[in-house]
Amino acid sequence: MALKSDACEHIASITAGNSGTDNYSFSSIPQTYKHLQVIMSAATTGYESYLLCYFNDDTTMYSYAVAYGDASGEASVLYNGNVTYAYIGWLGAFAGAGAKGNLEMWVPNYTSTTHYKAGLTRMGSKASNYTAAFAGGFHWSEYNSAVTKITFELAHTSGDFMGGAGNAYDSQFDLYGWL
Amino acid sequence: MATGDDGYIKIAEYTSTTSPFTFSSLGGSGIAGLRIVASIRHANSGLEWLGMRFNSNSGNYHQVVYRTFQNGSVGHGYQPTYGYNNKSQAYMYNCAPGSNNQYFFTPYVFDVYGSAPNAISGYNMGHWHAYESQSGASNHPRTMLGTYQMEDVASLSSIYIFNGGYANWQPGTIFSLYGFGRADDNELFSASG
Repeated sequence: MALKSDACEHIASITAGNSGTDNYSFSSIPQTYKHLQVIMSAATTGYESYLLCYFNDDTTMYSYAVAYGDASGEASVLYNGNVTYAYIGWLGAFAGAGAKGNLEMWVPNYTSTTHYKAGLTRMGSKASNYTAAFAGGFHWSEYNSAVTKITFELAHTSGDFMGGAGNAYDSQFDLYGWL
Repeated sequence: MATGDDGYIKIAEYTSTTSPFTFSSLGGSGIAGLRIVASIRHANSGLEWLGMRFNSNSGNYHQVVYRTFQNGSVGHGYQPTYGYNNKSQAYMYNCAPGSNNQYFFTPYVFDVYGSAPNAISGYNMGHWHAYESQSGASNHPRTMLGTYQMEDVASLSSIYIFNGGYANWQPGTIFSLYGFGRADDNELFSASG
């Protein structure tokens, strides 16, 4: 099957290793696209944790709002402003094959130097003791810098990204550029 | 779009400040779905909605829109806010207003699909996802989600996009239109057996 795509290009992949890392980054992101898309499949080695995101190593001035549903049966919202990270949702502790968190994130017009950069996030998360789905977004209150680095980090101090198994249990991050 | 272009295709881009505008000549281009990725700010002073019409049709849009609210409001800050039948366009809320901090733009992703296989024909439907925040304590961040269906069996040939406040867009606004290639040559969606 021949495939051709002139709108979307794969930029980089990250597969988590076994070194006990609670953050992974795409660095030196090419500035030749209009928009960015990240696809993630990940779990933690410890307790479930907030999944955080920030740009260009800047841990200031994020606002976010995330609608989510979990076992409580009632939709709710995470939101805040002027905080150090963008919250995406909870990422679950490893719960077996296929039971990880799956994220799609968009960063439109990421090279602009005239407006605040933003992300749109959608994630489903399955853990041994937690299941939820999230849809949210965030602003980074920085207008004069293009996004050159995207970092995902776990907030819980006892957990790292699951990795090093050499199979589908490993956390995986993929970055795409849209022309 | 040539035979073999069956991945994601860049169709058009709109960066002018003029509202409304139309992505046209979409019919027969061999696409199974559309995606608009946008970063939007409008020139009005208040929050305004973004409207889309398909094939210049100004009726029969059925939709539901969700928006997050500050904690403490009904439904723990999350409730359906708009459920519509037979409206004259697909509504999307909100665009960042021109009166606020000039750096706030609203990110959007909007997908469109048809009910017929491998084509945007039959009743087309779409879903969108946006996020909006502004400066000021009362302007809390909010995530917005919506789904619509348009009751028209015609093949999609154009998308008309307009600012609900009848103002123009701020410079820096961008709408990128992509197509999901279809089986011109029966490559991507063909079944075996």
